[in-house]
Amino acid sequence: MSYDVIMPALGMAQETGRVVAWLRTVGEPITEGDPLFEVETDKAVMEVPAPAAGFLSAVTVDADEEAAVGAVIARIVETVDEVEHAARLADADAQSQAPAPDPIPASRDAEPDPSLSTPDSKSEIEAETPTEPWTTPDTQTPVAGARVLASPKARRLAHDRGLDLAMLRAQGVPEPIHAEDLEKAVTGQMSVLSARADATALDALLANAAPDTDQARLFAAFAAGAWRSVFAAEEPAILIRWPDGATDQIGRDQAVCVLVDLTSTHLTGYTPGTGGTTMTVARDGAALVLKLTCNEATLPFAAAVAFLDEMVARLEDPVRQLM
Amino acid sequence: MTREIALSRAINEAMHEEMHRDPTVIVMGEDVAETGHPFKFFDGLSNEFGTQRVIDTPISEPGFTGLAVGAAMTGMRPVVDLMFGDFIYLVMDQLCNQAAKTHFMSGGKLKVPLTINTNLGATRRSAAQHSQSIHTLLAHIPGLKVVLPSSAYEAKGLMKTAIRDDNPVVVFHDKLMYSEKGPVPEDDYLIPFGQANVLREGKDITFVGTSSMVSVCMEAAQRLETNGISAEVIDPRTLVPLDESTIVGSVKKTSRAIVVDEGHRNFGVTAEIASRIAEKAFYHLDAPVGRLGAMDVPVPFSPALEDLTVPTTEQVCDLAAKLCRKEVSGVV
Repeated sequence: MSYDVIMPALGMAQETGRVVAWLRTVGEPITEGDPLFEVETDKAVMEVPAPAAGFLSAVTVDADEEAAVGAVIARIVETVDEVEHAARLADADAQSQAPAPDPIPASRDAEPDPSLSTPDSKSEIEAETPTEPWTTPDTQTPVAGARVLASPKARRLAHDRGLDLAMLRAQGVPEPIHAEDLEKAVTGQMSVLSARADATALDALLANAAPDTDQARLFAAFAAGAWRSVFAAEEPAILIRWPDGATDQIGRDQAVCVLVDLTSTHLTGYTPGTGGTTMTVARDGAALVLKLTCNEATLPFAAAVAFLDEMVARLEDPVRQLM
Repeated sequence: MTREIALSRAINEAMHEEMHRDPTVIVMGEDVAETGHPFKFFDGLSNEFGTQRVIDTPISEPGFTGLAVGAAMTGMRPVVDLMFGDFIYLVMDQLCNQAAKTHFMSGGKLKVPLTINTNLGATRRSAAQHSQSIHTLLAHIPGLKVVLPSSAYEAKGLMKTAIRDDNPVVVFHDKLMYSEKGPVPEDDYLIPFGQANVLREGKDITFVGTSSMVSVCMEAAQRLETNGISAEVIDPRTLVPLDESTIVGSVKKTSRAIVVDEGHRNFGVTAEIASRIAEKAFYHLDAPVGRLGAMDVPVPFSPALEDLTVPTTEQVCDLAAKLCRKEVSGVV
């Protein structure tokens, strides 16, 4: 039978105590209530009485050392034979009883509060966690590779649309970049990507569809699905443009892509001189011909390839749209 | 067509109606019975309800506020008048240590249905000790509700809700608005706490204004409209409880916000609301949240200087134009 001697809590908010001196030596007989050791808190030095009679044993915290409140710092054993002079035996105990460090700061660093972020922008948030205090625009010279200054909204929209803010800065868009700047920023040479899709599955689908099914809207829905799967954006908006010039939009936010349905005409493609990302769909016998025009500053090459490729996959196998 | 009455008259109506409705409602304060108060809130009450229920007190705010806290704990619904909001400093212990905590410290056994009727607002040439807007001090204390009516209509409905509330409530009127008239229904109506009022819808920027600053924001919104900036105007009505979701929802729509309050800017109402917006609408913000409040100086007695300390329509317009990155003509 043995009794634990623990570091007492002498103040309400006390977390640790320092042993000033042991008043008994290991192996010495003790009566309950005898002054056993002195402890120093943030305010005072106090004598702590022995919690039981017996022999002092297994002292793990020497004079001038600190221990967490509640930690076992020694034992009182019943017989002199049980006395342990190897004082460090109870080290593990002391550590296991030490109060856990406040978990909040650590978890905050590791994981942003989900209530503050949209699910799809999580990776971006982690990437943009600033490592140093925010500096104001006027004190920071733009440096390639340095963090681009942009409003939180512009940053979120850029992420949703797969835009690279550093490319916008390289194009001369002044910092901080605002949401409005994303619309203005599309300049420079346009790249054109082409693809061909087998239309068998799509034609079968259209043959069974309601007579008033609008093919252009169907293409737009496929394009939105393809965009969503490439960029993990929530509800990408697509602007539809018909050959007669009429337009409409699916989705609410600023459109990420213009879709032009040329299947009712003899045209095989259309490349806009300026403007944003445009996809044309034209008919070539049993196949569909697709063209994607984009500025690589705003829709990088790899993303454009993935987007067009996913669109073709959906046209060839419309079931993908449901997955 | 609803008749128009002054804000002080609207408070008077609320008092008459509530004293008729509930015999435990009493009024205490300096000059409330004999003269009906210098601002005329309590006109006619002592004739109608007697001086047992409408009580003139000595000039001792701590004394009579303490009496009222005790009366509230033991079954009455006292309305205490503090002639100037600046006297809040004199009753901090009665309000913050006693009234705010009694319900909690008694394990819910005691209630303190106390209403403090007082005011805020500068530019009345009343000098530094009678011109302060210190409502934010009480909004910081858990257990107190803080109400900021912005018109005669709001004053009546919010005052009646305050009197019927089982907790200590402090109502701050802008003392410059006592004579301002507005439509007030004659019937019994309540305005619930914690429900903001959207006075104007807009898409480019949200103005959150309190008390007298609501009309400043409305004027600014009208002027900005001609410059192509569409501003939404929100009056939170009560700071505690605060209708955070209406404010945050609006900023998510507009992406920009300015908070305007007549209290000092440092550590004040605008700081708290701006911080909530930054926390809850961060990824929707396209510009920093703007704040306008009283200058951080004791309110000067000199009229020319005093006028400079309070936020104006021009300041709201300028800041809004800056945040929206637009030129605004003819407003400065």
